[in-house]
Amino acid sequence: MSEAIALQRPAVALPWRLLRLLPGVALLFAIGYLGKVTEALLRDYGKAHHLALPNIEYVLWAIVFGLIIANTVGVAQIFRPGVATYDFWLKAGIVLLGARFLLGDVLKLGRVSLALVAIELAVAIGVMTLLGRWFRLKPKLTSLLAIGSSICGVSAIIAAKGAIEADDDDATFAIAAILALGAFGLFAYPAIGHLLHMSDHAFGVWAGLAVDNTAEAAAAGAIYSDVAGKVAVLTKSTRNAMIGFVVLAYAIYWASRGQAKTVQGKAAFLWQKFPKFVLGFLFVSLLATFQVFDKVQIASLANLSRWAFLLTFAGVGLKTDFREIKRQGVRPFVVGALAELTITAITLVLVLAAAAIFSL
Amino acid sequence: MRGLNPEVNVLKRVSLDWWAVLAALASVALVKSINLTVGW
Repeated sequence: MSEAIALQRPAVALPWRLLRLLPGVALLFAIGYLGKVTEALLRDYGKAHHLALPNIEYVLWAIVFGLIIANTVGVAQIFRPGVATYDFWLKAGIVLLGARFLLGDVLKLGRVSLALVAIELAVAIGVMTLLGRWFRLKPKLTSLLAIGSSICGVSAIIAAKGAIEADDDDATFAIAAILALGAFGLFAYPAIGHLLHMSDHAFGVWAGLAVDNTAEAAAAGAIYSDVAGKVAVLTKSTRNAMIGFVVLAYAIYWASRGQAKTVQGKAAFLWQKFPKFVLGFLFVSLLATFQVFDKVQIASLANLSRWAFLLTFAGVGLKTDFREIKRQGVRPFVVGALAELTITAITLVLVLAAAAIFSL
Repeated sequence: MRGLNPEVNVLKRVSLDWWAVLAALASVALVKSINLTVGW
């Protein structure tokens, strides 16, 4: 009897699981689309009334609407499974974005990005570790914040949590802090970029280097310009590719202190942590390089990528709950904010120097 | 019991990253094979 139940379960469970996602995905779409409509309405209003209104991209509207819902009425339980799919749409969108890059461009920009990413990693880990010690944070919380601020925010913290056997509370806080700081960056970075008259390429590289979470990095770039959005995703993906090495280094460190299990099979560990969507992105970029797609098909793939990002950006706002910071205490958040400010300033100098040398 | 449940095991083995790659490649195949046009 129990075997029969077990065999029957997936037939019910899979459609049910997919069905549970629908309300949240519909909410992501509704908020994203509302952002798109708001952008068009404001633009048309400005044109009709001869007003020079700033062109605020749908990205920012979608995030703002999401933030307002999440921090006022909150996200109802029925929407949560679907809202959590924002990460899926982000990764699918990045793979599809590959159609807009020729492999030569990826390698050229990737080389510059890789050198900058290496410096950014060393600076971010060093600064966060020092600040964590000065403010006497728990060592594993400091490790999580260092991993989150140096590589790719939430994914890196989740990957590291198991590897260094950190507490759930520390991981929850580190995620909330990274998301709140990312939300702040979405507004601050494009403003700084415009103030310094940064080129689209230079701003994209800076957003990819300095913004912690991939969705926020893509959003910050897209708020600046379409090209900056593309470059930000590419730079951030280069940074994401480093996740395995950094998490492995921390896992070995904590294991050497007897506070985490020893890592067996380092190559398998690196492969397990490697972001597979980067491979998908490179594959689609390879197809585009060999002219597998015509112009109309490339435009369709680019638009599909934009629709996927539209769902992602709505999710960025919906998942950022500032009340979580209040619940967890302000001191670790201050450490995170100080470290982010330092990283922001250092990466800005790096990018401005690289822009002058490599004509970004 | 889980050993008798291949569908669930396969679902659990495939990470979110791979699902995203599969979904994206499926849409690439659709755009390429039937000239699916997507607007914005």
